Amino acid sequence: MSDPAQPDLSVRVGSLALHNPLFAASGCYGYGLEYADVADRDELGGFVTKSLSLEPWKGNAPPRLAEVSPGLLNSIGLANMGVESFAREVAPQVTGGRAKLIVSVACNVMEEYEQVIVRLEEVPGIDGYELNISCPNVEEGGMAFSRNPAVTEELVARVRKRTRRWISAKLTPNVASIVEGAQAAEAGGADALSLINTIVGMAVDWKTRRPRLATITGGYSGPPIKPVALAKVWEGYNAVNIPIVGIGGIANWKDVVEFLIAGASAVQIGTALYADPALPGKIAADLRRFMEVEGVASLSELTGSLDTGHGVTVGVPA
Amino acid sequence: MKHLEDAVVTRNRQIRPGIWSMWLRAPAVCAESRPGQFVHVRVGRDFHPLLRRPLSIGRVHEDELELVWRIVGRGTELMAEATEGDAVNLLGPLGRPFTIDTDAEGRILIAGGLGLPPLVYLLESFRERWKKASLLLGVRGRDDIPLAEDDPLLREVEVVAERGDGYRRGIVTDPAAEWLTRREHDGGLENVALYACGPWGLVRALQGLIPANRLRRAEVSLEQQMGCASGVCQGCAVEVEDGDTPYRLVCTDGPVFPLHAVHAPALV
Ligand SMILES: Cc1cc2nc3c(=O)[nH]c(=O)nc-3n(C[C@H](O)[C@H](O)[C@H](O)COP(=O)(O)OP(=O)(O)OC[C@H]3O[C@@H](n4cnc5c(N)ncnc54)[C@H](O)[C@@H]3O)c2cc1C
Ligand SMILES: Cc1cc2nc3c(=O)[nH]c(=O)nc-3n(C[C@H](O)[C@H](O)[C@H](O)COP(=O)(O)O)c2cc1C
Ligand code: FES
Repeated sequence: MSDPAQPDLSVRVGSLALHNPLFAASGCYGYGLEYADVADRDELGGFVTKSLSLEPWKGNAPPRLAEVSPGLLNSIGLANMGVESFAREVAPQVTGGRAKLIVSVACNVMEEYEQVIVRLEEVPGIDGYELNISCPNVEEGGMAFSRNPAVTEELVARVRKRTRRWISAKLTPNVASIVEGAQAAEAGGADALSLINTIVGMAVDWKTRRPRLATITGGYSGPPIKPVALAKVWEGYNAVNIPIVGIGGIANWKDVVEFLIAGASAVQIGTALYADPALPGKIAADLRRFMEVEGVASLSELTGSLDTGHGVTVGVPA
Repeated sequence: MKHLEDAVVTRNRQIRPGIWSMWLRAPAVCAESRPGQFVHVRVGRDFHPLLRRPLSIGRVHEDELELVWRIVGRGTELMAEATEGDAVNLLGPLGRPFTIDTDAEGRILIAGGLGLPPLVYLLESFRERWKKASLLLGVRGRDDIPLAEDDPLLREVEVVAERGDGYRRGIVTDPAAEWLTRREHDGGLENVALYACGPWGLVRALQGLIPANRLRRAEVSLEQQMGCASGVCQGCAVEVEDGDTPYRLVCTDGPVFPLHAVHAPALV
């Protein structure tokens, strides 16, 4: 298992023990098989599947992507294979590794979340669920769930009754404050919060005067959203007692450390994986070096260690 | 199987104004690549530009492959800055290749502009087995031909230019229609395989020119904005009438699709 000479990257997110704090984010790692040729899944502490619904979804009309570099706008519309195909065909191939398997679930109505979970409970080797109640790209449900704290609490509570596995609620940043939603998910019985999903955004082609996405608006991700994500993690960290998984713009080890300091217990890497599917292994190696150089014994000691005693002042040239 | 490979630039030069050709030593990608496939090229450092750029695999000679592109933005501009000896990270080979149809008796390849590179690759692979395949290229003018003036391959391509420029004046569907008519009288169309790559306008024109199911095979290679190029993000969907869903992914179901199954978008 872990080499005693190497710093230990393991962390806990509530009841979930990870050999390192790096998850692949939902929608950015497929179902765990697509990158198998080029990246070792077990270099991840865990991975979150593409969000699954009760039936397969075909997704939105194209174009679904617009690069607004160094960020990305998407309006995929949760195109996915549906829970049955995953349970039968994919799950047996992606369970049992070092990387924890977290299955993301997204549905239009509450009953379907329960139905999907009930089906997944029959599948051995799943380590937990992430409830995507924050997708900005679907007409029904999606981020509307997470914008309404009462709905968030009821949904989490209903799923809680169906499973003893780890549950994280993935919340939208597209609200004035995430505090109420975070507390509602905690009250409903979530083991953790995943913060954040994409930020509503839009791109316009000035020449043609057309939107660059067929759905006009979409979800913004990638390095530019990191400051927003850090703020939400910090807000969440101060509002609840359950651990937080930080997501948004992570592309290197410093980003990871910053998220931990702001209150995350683990993180997810999303869009950056498209550019480099082998990134998690590199970040893990860099984190080991960081721990050695900085004398950090355990990554969990960083969580919430933000020093708010004084701001860091940068000298401004006269 | 796809690879993440640090390829080494062996040559990079401008072959026409704004059009570049790069040769890269990429043994792993070359060993498995087929005509019609593409690579996803890491153009930036530190995620700026954020995404890789998809480019068709052009000629493959032993462990080197050629990429040919027009500079249209930051990513393609950065690629033009690479010099001999630089490493360029490739993800590939990706996508479904053209179908090499051993039973076809006539082969026509139709390119529009920068759609040429994958068809040049296909032509070269045909040449190993069959003497004759026709490659037609439509461009606006001489400066848009994605082959260098001194490239011996240029002699094997029938160029049609909207501006003439010393070539036949017109659009590429003109000689394509003539070829098909000749063929119809001489052997029939049932054994013909057609392969195309070019802008949506060409796709639509070819769909109009050739009634569905007349040819043995008609395939077209498409483009779409990509994220992962690996079937992960579901971002590169196009409308293709083929089976149970209205959408197909260019990166894994394509980029090559049956010509008549493709729905060209209304606004292009
Ligand atoms: C399978 C495939 C094969 C291709 N082969 C070639 C080729 O051989 N030669 C060639 O010149 N071009 C080819 N293209 C198009 C090429 O990918 C784009 O020209 C290139 O991505 C532009 O990047 P940029 O940063 O210079 O332009 P920008 O316009 O600044 O790019 C912005 C974003 O849009 C994307 N984009 C822009 N144009 C296209 C396009 N036509 N298709 C897909 N994405 C696009 C870029 O990747 C980037 O994410 C191919 C595209 C695909 C999908
Ligand atoms: C193309 C794309 C598809 C996504 N699909 C999902 C999804 O199915 N479910 C989900 O919860 N989040 C999805 N996300 C959001 C990511 O998981 C992540 O929350 C977000 O992109 C921010 O992280 P990043 O900046 O590292 O990408 C998707 C993101 C992208 C870019
Ligand atoms: S580019 Fe991601 S699925 Fe095709």
